[in-house]
Amino acid sequence: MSKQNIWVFFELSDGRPKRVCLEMMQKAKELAEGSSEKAVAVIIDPEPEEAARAAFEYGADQVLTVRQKFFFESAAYILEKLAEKYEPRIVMIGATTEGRDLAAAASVRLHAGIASECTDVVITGSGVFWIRPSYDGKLNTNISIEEAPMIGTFKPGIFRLGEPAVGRNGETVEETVDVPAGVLLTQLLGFTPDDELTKANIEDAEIIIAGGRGVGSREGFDQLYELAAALGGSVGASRAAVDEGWIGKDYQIGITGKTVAPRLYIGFGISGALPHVNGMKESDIIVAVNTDPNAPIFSVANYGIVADLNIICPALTRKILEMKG
Amino acid sequence: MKILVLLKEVPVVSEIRIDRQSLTIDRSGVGKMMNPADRHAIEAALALADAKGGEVTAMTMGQESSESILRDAASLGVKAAYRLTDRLFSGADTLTTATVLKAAIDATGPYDAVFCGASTIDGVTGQIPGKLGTMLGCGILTNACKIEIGDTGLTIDRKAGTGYEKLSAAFPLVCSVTEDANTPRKPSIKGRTASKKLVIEVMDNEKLQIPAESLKSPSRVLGLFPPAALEKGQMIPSQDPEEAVSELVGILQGQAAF
Ligand SMILES: Cc1cc2nc3c(=O)[nH]c(=O)nc-3n(C[C@H](O)[C@H](O)[C@H](O)COP(=O)(O)OP(=O)(O)OC[C@H]3O[C@@H](n4cnc5c(N)ncnc54)[C@H](O)[C@@H]3O)c2cc1C
Ligand SMILES: Nc1ncnc2c1ncn2[C@@H]1O[C@H](COP(=O)(O)O)[C@@H](O)[C@H]1O
Repeated sequence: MSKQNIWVFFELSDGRPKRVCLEMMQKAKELAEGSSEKAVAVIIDPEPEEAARAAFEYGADQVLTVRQKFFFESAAYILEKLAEKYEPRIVMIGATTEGRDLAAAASVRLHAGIASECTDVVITGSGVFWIRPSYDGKLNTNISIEEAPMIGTFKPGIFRLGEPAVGRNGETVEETVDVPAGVLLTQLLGFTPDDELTKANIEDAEIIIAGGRGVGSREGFDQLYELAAALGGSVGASRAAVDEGWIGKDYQIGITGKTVAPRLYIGFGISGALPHVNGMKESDIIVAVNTDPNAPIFSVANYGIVADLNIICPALTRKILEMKG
Repeated sequence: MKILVLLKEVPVVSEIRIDRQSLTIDRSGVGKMMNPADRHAIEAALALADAKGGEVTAMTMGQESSESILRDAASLGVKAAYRLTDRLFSGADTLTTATVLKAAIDATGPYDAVFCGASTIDGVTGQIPGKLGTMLGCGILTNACKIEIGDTGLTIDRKAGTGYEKLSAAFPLVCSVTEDANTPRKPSIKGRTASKKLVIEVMDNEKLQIPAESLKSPSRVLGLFPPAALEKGQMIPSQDPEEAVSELVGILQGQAAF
């Protein structure tokens, strides 16, 4: 086995690593320890320092930096050159908007097999097995890629983020790679923040109040918005509520929506079908409110209340507002 | 302009029944359809042809049944169609699929623009457009939710976290299209006739001459297994809702959940 080590590609936003990178970093450390390899963070950014610090605290043994602006085309080229030099076995990339573009381009450049949007990865001896849900999450698929390097992508919220080892440090290697002009064929012209999309950015939310068909109507969601506001959280939904037109598609949690792993998830009137559960089961604390004592959501929930959400939700909001004075 | 749209036939996933004990997958009677996003890719391709002049060609790699989605495309205004099929293509992963599509593009192109769906509903997640664009060495615009046609290329908006990103690329390019991007047109009477008359050229590896080496998929599906059973948590008595809420709040505070 010539190719070794597990790389995590770091995507930054305002100098800070996106949470999904830290989640993957911790997973990479666990994998690397099991197979006596190194967990390596790859950071392509003009100012990689803060991200490098975070990478070490979340488990990197080594950090490779390239001081350049990140764009998927140049990053795929840089990854190709770094991979030629260091020969990694595994490259983990976050399934973000840019991460997906990077993974596709890097897969071609590295001629690397890819398992996209995985929910787990297991190493046994020289075998690497990639797990991803299929058939709406009813079954998991086990994918094997025989040749290294190989790429796996992970959505944010797939691995639970543990505590960092504050002050942990390691070796940083700075590389320079000249990217030929011909590589850059796509231009990023700009970014326009959008209120609606910010509200719907539930992947980064710490608290999510989710509603399903049991909420009953678009107006029924108002009580969820009020609770979310009281808790400083965001509102999410099941596909049923989205399909009913009570809330936008950008709020959908689940296998065909977003994967979330907030500190607190409270589901109201959600039955707990697998396609939904697959998108939220890594939340730290799951609370479910449902009138049906046999609803499958209660087998995922840490705390369950069999009751009408139209009573519990407003009561919860009142209680929290009372406490906050 | 020469414009290509890539289409894929997918099973109606919700109709597939699965026995979680025996892990058998019952596909009998499961319908097939055009991947939903691909309809929007067709519309984007036709809109570009309307604006700049030129013709739209459709291409799919798939079984004989997938000719029906090529005919669907023809009823909307697509003028030519290719279906790629070979025993050597079966079990293709995304890298191999992109390799085959690239070879067929080289054989029938060049095209000024290649439109794809942003992703397919049968499991694969938007890998083809980026892979194909990288292989073709052209600009790659993925997940368009708005497309503007410029003099020398396209500009797209796409959703990214808390806002919209604007990207552009000059022709030739690959562009993947989401369902937000446009409203697909309906077939015309003329289109329906054209659809019946459409001549679909079938291309196998005899024609495409892809070395067997390049058709070896690096990834392989080993098997299926049911997801682990989840742990059951604690139920909070709810005879008195106010009390239930107090108890819940107490627990959550204890765990610093908010
Ligand atoms: C290909 C595919 C992809 C899918 N992807 C997703 C996905 O990404 N996300 C997703 O969520 N789903 C997805 N689904 C759909 C999924 O299978 C379920 O149909 C959906 O999650 C059900 O939503 P729900 O729980 O809101 O509705 P239901 O299953 O109808 O449940 C409503 C629940 O509300 C309860 N209820 C009713 N009234 C009240 C009340 N007053 N107070 C409290 N409880 C009440 C009921 O007891 C019931 O349990 C997908 C399905 C397919 C086929
Ligand atoms: N077998 C195929 N034949 C033609 N086009 C395909 C095929 N597979 C994927 N595509 C195109 O690539 C898009 C994204 O697919 P995927 O990357 O598989 O999610 C689809 O919407 C199609 O436009």
